[in-house]
Amino acid sequence: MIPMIRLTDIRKTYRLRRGMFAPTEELVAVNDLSLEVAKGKTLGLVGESGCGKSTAVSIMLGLLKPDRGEIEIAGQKIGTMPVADRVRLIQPVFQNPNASLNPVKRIQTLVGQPLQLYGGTNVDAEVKRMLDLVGLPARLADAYPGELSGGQRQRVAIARALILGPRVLICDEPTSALDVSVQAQIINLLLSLKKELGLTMVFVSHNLAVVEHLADHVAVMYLGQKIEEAATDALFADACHPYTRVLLAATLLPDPQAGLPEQKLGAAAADPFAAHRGCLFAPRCPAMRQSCVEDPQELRTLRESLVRCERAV
Amino acid sequence: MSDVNIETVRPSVWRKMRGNTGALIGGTLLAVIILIALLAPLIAPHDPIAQDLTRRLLPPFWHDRSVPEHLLGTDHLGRDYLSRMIYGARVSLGVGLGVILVSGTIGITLGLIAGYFGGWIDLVISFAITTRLSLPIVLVALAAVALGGASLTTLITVLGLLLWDRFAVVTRAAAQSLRHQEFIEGLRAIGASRTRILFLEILPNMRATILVVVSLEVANVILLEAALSFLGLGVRPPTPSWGLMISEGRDNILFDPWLIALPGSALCLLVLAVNLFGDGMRDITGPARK
Repeated sequence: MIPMIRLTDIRKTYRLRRGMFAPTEELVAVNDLSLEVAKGKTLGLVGESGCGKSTAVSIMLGLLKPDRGEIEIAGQKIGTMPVADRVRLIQPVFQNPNASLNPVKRIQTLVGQPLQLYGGTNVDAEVKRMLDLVGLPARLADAYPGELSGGQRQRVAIARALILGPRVLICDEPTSALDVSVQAQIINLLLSLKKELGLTMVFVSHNLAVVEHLADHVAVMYLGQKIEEAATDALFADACHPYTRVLLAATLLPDPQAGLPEQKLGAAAADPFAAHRGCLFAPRCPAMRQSCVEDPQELRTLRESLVRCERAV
Repeated sequence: MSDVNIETVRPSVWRKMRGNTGALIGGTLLAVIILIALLAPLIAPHDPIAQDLTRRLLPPFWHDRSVPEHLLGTDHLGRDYLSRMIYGARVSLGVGLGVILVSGTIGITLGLIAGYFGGWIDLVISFAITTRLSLPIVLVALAAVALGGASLTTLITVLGLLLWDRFAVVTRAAAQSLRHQEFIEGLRAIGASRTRILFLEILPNMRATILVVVSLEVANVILLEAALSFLGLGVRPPTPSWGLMISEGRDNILFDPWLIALPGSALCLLVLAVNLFGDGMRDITGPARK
């Protein structure tokens, strides 16, 4: 079966110069990333800030050209696809609904705009249908984003993303800017929409609890590389890569007695410029050996996971 | 969700304006001045350039020597001062509006482009802004008038080409802060064109800022026109302009100070009206924000 969205060996580098006379350095934002999501499934993409999640999202949306590699949606390469076709296949829902809606446009305009741009007819009726689909009363069509609550705004953003009837929805931290009480509503809305419309989703998040709830499949990224990928249950029950384990251990428990989780990463932060052949995570890894720094790590299958660590057992 | 159809209550601009004293006063004053300018041929009691050398320097109505036909007296050539004041409003408003149209278009376009694209485009436009800022307006206007001859068109063109900097600086800064907003990325994700993003999505977000600049600049232009006309670089006599009237009245400042006081107060009122109105409109229009 052809996956709904497939990334093959995507690589994206930025050329940076730190200081006026410094030599240009290459920052590898996404390094040979391959992902596949089957139709109707949800992929959770997790990793700390700067690990290349957002770059990967921009590439999937066609906003950024990868240096090499292919993105296919429903079997079609999006690099050569006309924009009008691309937007009907894949749409984003962004993190911050305060910033993702133009504050001077009315909800009616915002939701209807994608359709309007591509010469859709009957825009008003469609907007009404979409608002109903995401659980907003039709009377809000006249309001401005500033007059809605955060949760309502995110519903508007979802309606706007869905009006063209895309096959794939990319959610870039869609709940992290919302109140905890509203997060659950939005997540349940996404879940029911996914079932109802048969959407394929890529769900980018810091929040592991959300990913566990939503995703069928999880890919963990570190400094542009996919370091572990597994079915959600397998990953949360038995993570293989040391980084994934640390990530899972850092999750806060809803237990006041538990205290703050101890993180075993040492004081170093992820350094995208650190140049060595071996594992990128090695400098912070609690299980590091000399060979980790020297030998390049390849993805290998371990139990139910795909993991980029030779020492994982 | 319930199906109860509640009308969203959004106060109209007019209703909000009634609650804003400044905007109300400014708006009324401005409307009156605009009406006077538009209806000048109907309401002016005399021809503003008809001279009557037998009735020179008649004082205004509050004075003992005043005559009823010349409510605000006459100038040194015996022209009716009230009629000249009325026609002078046309010049002030016309120049103000014309210059803002030219300078606003240039400045807003350049500022938007510089702020949105950044990089070397921004460098070039910023250089143009700095260059423009280093040019003394009166000197450049003097040179342009010397080359092109003094006329209303020259004046509007020269000022329009000189006064776009404030628009550019303000829109550039605003565009810089808006370009990284997620809604811009969202628009690119639905394949919106650059022109659409710049002028239909980013520009409306700057309405409040631009309104303030417009009100400041209109006032600035009106004063500059008066100053240039006073220096003999603007409107040519006998066309009535408030600045020119002040210039012509300065020989008689000692014995007939109203020759300067009247157009001076008119200028002052107009500038005040524009500023009050612009300031009020910024608060009134635009959607509620968090």
